[in-house]
Amino acid sequence: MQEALIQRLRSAVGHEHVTARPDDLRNYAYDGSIDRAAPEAVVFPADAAQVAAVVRACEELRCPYVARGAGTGLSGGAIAEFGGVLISTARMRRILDIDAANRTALVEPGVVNAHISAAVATLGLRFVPDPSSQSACTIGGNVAENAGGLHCLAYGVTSNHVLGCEIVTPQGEIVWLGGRENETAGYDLLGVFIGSEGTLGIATKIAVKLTPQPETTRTLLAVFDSVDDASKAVSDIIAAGIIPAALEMMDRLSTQAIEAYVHAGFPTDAGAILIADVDGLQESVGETAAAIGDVCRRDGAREVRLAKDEAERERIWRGRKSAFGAMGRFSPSYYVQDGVIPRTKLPEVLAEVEAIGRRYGLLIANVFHAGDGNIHPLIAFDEKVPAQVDAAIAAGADILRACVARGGSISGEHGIGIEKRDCMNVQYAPSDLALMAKLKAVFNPGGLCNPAKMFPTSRRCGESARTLQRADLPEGIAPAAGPAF
Amino acid sequence: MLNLPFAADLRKHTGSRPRVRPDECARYSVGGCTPKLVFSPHNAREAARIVSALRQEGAAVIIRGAGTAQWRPPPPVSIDAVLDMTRCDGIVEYAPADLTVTVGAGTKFSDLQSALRAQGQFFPCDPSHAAEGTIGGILSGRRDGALRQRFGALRDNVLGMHVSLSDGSTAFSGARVVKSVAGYDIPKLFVGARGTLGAIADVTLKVAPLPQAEAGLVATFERLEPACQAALDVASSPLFPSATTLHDARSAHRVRSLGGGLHDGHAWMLVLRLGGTRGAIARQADGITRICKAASAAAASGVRIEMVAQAQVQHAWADIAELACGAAYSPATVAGMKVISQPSHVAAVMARALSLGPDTECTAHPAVGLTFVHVRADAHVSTAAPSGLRAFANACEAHGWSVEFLFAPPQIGEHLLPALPLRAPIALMRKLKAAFDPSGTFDPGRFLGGI
Amino acid sequence: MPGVSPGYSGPERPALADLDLCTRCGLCEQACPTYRLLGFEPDSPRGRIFLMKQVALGEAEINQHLADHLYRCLGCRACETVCPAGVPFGRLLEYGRFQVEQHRDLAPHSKGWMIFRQLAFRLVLPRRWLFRALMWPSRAIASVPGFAAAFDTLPRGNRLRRLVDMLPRRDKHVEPSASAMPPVTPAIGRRRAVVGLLLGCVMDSLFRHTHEATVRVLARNGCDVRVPTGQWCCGALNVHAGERAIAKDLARANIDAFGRAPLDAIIVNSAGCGAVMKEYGELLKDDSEYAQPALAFAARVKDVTEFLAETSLVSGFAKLPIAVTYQDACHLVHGQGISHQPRALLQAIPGLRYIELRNASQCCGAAGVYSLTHPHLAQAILDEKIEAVLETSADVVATANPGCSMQLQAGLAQRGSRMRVRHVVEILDEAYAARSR
Repeated sequence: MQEALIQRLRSAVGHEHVTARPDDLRNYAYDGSIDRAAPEAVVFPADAAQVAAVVRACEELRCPYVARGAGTGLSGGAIAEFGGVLISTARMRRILDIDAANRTALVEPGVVNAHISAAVATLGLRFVPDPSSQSACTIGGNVAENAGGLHCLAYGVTSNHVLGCEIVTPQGEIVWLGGRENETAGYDLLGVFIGSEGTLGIATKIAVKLTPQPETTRTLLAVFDSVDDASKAVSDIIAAGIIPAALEMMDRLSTQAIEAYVHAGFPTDAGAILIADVDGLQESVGETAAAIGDVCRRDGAREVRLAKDEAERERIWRGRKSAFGAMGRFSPSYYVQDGVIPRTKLPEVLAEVEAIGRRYGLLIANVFHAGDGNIHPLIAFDEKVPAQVDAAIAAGADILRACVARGGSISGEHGIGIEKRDCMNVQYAPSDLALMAKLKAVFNPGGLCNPAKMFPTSRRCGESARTLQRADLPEGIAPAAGPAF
Repeated sequence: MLNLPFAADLRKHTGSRPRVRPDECARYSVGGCTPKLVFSPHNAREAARIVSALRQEGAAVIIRGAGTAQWRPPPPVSIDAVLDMTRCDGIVEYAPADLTVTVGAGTKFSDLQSALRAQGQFFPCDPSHAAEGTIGGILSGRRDGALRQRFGALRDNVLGMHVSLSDGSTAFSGARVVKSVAGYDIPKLFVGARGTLGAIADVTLKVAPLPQAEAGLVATFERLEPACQAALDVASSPLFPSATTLHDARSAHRVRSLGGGLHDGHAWMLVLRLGGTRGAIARQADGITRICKAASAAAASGVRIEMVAQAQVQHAWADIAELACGAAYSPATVAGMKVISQPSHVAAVMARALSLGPDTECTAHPAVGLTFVHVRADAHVSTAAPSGLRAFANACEAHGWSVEFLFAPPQIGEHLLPALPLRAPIALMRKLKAAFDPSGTFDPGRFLGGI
Repeated sequence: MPGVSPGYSGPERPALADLDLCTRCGLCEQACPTYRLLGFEPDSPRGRIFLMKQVALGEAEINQHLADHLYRCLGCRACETVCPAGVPFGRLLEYGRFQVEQHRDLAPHSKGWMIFRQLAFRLVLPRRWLFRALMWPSRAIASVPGFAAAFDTLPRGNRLRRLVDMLPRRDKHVEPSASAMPPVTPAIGRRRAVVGLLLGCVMDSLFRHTHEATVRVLARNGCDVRVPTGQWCCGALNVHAGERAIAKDLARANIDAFGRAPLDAIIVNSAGCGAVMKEYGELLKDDSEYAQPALAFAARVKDVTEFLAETSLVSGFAKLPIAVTYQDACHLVHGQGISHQPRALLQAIPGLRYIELRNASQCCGAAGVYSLTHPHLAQAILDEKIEAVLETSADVVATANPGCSMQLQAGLAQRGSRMRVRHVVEILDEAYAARSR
């Protein structure tokens, strides 16, 4: 990396908040996904002005840059694939303002998702989006990925709960998209910024919407002998006009992995377990939970039980939220898919997932947001065995194709990043992607802001494409004169 | 500016036959301005071909649904062609168990709702002009109603869409399923873009089950502040009503089925729409009653509370929804505006709006922070009106509230260019317009900042 | 260093099977005190595991970077509690540090500290008489009233004053007796168990009153309490610092000392000691003679709060009208999974108002010798902890580990707070004593 750039970075954020020591950089080569590439420098800005100064330095010296929150992303969004500068939001972690009357809060991007709800709990409010990693992931990353969570079924995803963002554009300007009101005049730029995976700029302040805590929440656990029965129950619950706050399913394998860790009381011999959260006023919660229980029993549930207290509720949900990590007990690595299908197609897609696992000789566990039709097959493999890596990636691609073939999507909440970009063609036609490219150029004409994420490369979907080291900038982003570092 | 002789060529290029007869075209006028050509494409591809050909002729094109928003100021200076989207209609796919429906943009909102209701579902939005308005028009104009308090805004319930662009291409973005983050969320750009980026051809929406039961609660307050406070307190409580609207006396009189308005000095009407199980509704009503009484007691003023049955509240909502985005333009109208503010500022917004004159009426969605202001002036539509309205808008801006003009007669509307909110990233918006519609084909000059 | 390979050597190394458990999900990050404070990935559990794994896979060498970040860890093991994959971080850390110790040139700290550490860990700790002799001044300061007050004139940040601030303060009416601990204390009433008590090093020198309270409470609950001779320091500080050889000697000595007595349980009232003693089996797994006895020993080790909560407490408490909050000792909550037991014991005392501490299971920054090796970090962590403690407005903050007691004591003294720091068992003892008075 150019010494001139390092100097600029140091003057932008302070000497001690820049590191280019190769040893330090090794720890910034990964996130929660399977890709890896080390940046050439990591900076820790304290505010929007410092972020803007870093961005301007990078743009002027033609160096790629990527923002990073907690590094819990599952699609490689925060991987510095082409080296360059990694902009950590670790120092931007203040909750700046809480406005209880208007139910909003203003926070910095490095604030941990769960800390927002914790900070407003005594006001009877909460920040609804609750990805499973909420105890660690940051709101900046949630905005970039348009993170979902367990309660999107009833409450929506991140973009439904963010009112505005102050961003640093790739031009190094600080602008507001949206604000603290519920509506903004003009184009909904905030709407496209959320979920843009860090390719349109870097959020430096985020105005979030707060929601009253429900008066009561009951959690219901239903045990089925087969995934088919549980899937049918999911459809029947929705068909009965019930939208539970959350509706989650786990198959036998994931139940066993979780149970080994949390002891949440999941029967490990069940074919599938359904967890439903019902929230609202006391008067309706019991009635609705009973209705869900009836549907489950009618569809063959061998056991339906209501969590008797808050401790049991927490244990059940902690179990569910631990699903991904708990896979570590089964295999050294796992590759998590994030496809979405119309929920009525669950049984046939799950059967196909099982067949795909058999075809590649890989163990695949399933946990999913059944209410949304958002499936998370967890493909177990060993990253130390190259053939298994290839097989896992190919199996993942087959699963995504199966989702798209049924009118679904290749990602419900984890994002495209590096991991799924070569499968974008499966879901979108060239003209669809062309419009997305036009939008990207509006914000990020030089392409240096989180380069090459989300858009397909020349590889095919499922071709072994794991990023394990720094790559050269693709044509069109690299300056004609050759790389700057 | 378009040369009419090209119309025949256009037909050759696009395979579509435009209407050219002035009397026919007059039925598609916008803001009193009659187009020279009217195309009625049947699908996204046809629409794209037409627009592309028109663009090469340098034409200005307005995309039109049912024409219910045609009086939005400023009026167009001239229109070469109208793209009438009402033929892109009908339900493409509806899977009740998946809670999704895909419809042509020209589908009438009311037709969609009937089809959904037959399956015990609905699209949770209560726009104005619900009877004749089209889905595409409602989305393009971002005509949210008060139900967004409980069910989310329009933008939150749009999952995917096909659009036709001025370069002749069509593009799909978003998805047909309830959740997707694959690629940019471009459908959000088209919600509220008023047809300036491209034409929405079809759209996939997230629908909701109809509530088990509904009811209404009407609280009439002596004073404005406690009414607003009660609305805020309810919104911050776990009672989760479906919608809250607040009416001044004039606005209240227009909600005929709720008794025709106010009496005994109770000048402010707060309407809460409740939904859920019967038990939940009883609790909501009880909790809200308590909050309303506490708010008025704290302000040492009175409140009167009345429960309204399901049929009555649903009937009343037809009137209430019209008040939101504005009753259709009539010769007696000076202007309709929407003021966006923090919810806690609604009382101040309403007070300021009512100081515009005796013929002003206000309807607010206080939990969301929107206030709709209608200025009517039967006798004195004067040339002074635009400057008065501008002054009001400027005063609002100074408080951090933004004002959108929704309708006005052409002679006033031509002076009402969209106000530019202080913090709006207008440079990015211009770039966006230039990227999506480089020739400025779609409705030039009438959007925010003259886009 | 010649003769030392750049990778791991010998069997006592971070096992790849343990490292493979980590899926890099990142859920541990916010549980980690150093990551919360520094926001720096190499100072997170995931970061440290990644560094150790790179060495294991031959992708990196043991170097200064690895050493710095392994030693900047508090070893609080809070990450283990939140890890869904069950990564045994404490074990990995001990082995990782042990490997670093094989490369003396990578000494993570200043030369002066290293010399001190050599002296303390290799010379003093293994020698009971020397340790006790050196601790004499501290005991004098702690036990002679007015002595400690003499240091109050020193500025708050002064290291000497901080050391004095850390010394345990005793309660007026439970003065320790000057004589040695009796080798056997008979149960009061019906005998329900025979237990042994570990005295340890620091506990025995500075917290004799805690031991005495422990013996009284155990006896009142029907235990014959034995204090075997020949026992000494548990070796925890050595294990945590990667000095396994001396730790093993200490472990063997304790196994011998306790092994002779037929005990139902070996009671420990220091969380740090208990956590390590429960892992003697792992420590001595390659010792053909001691592997089995170590496992048997470990199985009998119980924290005093764990033991008391399992037996039904003998009633006979007086009302104790004080407000008490409780700070989890890391090596109790994360190391041994003990969290509800001490709380239950406190809540069993009539009149006592229990106040839950915000983030009670977060480390206080004591972490063995951490406040000596990383004073600035330890202070920052302590500051956050004291904020939360003061928020409770309790009269007493209870804990179950000498390091935590000393650290909290110092933090409260810095703020001029009158809040007292007591071991859980001392509070139980006080409640019993109040009844007999």
